[in-house]
Amino acid sequence: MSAVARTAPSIAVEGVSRWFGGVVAVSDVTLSVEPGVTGLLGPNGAGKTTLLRAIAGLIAPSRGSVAVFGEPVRDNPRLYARVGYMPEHEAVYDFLTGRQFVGLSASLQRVPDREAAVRRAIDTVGLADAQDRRLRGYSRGMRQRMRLAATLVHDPQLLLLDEPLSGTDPAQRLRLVEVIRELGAAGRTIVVSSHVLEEVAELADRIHLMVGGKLAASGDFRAIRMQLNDRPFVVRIDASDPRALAAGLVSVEAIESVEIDAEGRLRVRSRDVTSLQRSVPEVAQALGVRLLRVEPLDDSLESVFEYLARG
Amino acid sequence: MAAILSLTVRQLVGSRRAWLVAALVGLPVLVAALSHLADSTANAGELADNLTGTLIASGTLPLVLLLLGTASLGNELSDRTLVYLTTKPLARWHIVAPKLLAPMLVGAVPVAVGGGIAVALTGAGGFRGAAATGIGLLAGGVAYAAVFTWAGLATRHALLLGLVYVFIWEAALARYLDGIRYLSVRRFALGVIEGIDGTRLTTLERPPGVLPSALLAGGVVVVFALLAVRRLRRLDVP
Repeated sequence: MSAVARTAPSIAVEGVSRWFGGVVAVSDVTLSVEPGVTGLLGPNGAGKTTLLRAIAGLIAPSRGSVAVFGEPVRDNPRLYARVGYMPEHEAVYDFLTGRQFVGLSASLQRVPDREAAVRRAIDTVGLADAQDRRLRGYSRGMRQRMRLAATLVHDPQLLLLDEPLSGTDPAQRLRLVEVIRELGAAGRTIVVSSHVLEEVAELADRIHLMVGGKLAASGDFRAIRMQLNDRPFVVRIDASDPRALAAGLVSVEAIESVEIDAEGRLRVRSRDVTSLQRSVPEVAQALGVRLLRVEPLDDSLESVFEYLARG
Repeated sequence: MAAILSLTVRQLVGSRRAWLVAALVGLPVLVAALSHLADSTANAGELADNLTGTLIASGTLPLVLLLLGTASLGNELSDRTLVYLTTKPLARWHIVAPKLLAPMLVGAVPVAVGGGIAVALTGAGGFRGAAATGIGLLAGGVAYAAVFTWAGLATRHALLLGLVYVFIWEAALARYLDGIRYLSVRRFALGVIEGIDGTRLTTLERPPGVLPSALLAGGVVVVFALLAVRRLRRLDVP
């Protein structure tokens, strides 16, 4: 291995853009990824999957370059001996059993002790009991786990996992999170894409945040989370006596503004979500006002990401 | 390569198309068997030529290979399973070769064997006639497999383009425009048959000859295999 390759990050993305016809999916993204678990976070349509596919060498960037372990990834199949890629879509060879599917992956990866590797991978995702059933009979979550087993079977140094927790139930999710974190702690480089903040919080210490095809923020998850907590938060409240409640809420320190719209609903704005959650019912109870409905107005991930992108 | 070949054979045999393929393979045998039972030996040569040149070489052979060839890589592309092959440390021709071989095994071999049996049942040409039919159809089937496997990877409209090639180019134009015979897989198949058994296909149009036919069929396989490898290397894999 050359000196350059030894010091290179696991993934180096340099000025990558990719467009499909007139649609720009990824725009001028530069990032690097080191060993450990890194989250690729963003709302649906942010360009995460396109970027992951470019990193996996499945598509050529329209502009820029991608290197994995210091080598160009496109049209370089040798590199896949060190890489495991799990696509977002659930397509599998559904006429195969789970074991056959993982075995196929092991065979194509030319894993030396294939039987042992397949057993180990299936045990890792906890599906030994279902391994001899055809994949078409699996639940979505089971299929996700077996796909992860097929991705892990050759013990790759780099794992690219596109929405790996999607479709899993809480128990399966817990299991997968545990597996991914263990692999990261063991020195693998793992990139996990997700549009769910909580998932990334569970999995990754570092994140790259994508919005509208661009990289909006990169770095430590906790620092970015603080920015998220600091953003203004608006809730709409239906109450039995909106004017009385509005008068009571304006005196709460954490609340920046209170408005009453034409339909008599309150729009309450605050930067301190925790205080807001506590003070609204307290004030309503003190004033004898009944709360009919409390609804966050801009809690969608898109609004969170857009806020950060603007910031 | 064995793993991908086995996978692809299972895909092709397990698909709904397999029933249609089985029916197409069996049709010439059925026709020949019925003729045999009807004892129509007076027209044995003409029947054998029509079965070979019209029903099989213009119909069942290209249709079977069209159905299987376009599915071999094309279905992996449309159902998005191709990624499980392309993200492995395999040279692209290690993926393309078994994907070409599978429709040859599942389609070309049964059609060739069925064609040989059908000709044998007519009683025309004896063993040599049956063997010539089988070998010629196999040569044509192998070439069709290469063309249609590439087409399945190159375009989403491979079935439609294949039908245009088979029924417009080969069945219509190549019969009337003599120069096109060097660009017709059907003519290559008939050329090999005629070259091995000179008594056959006397009622049909003149094919290019056995050596040119065999070389052209081989050339088609090589060219379209290389095109498929090139396409796979440049493809955006879904």
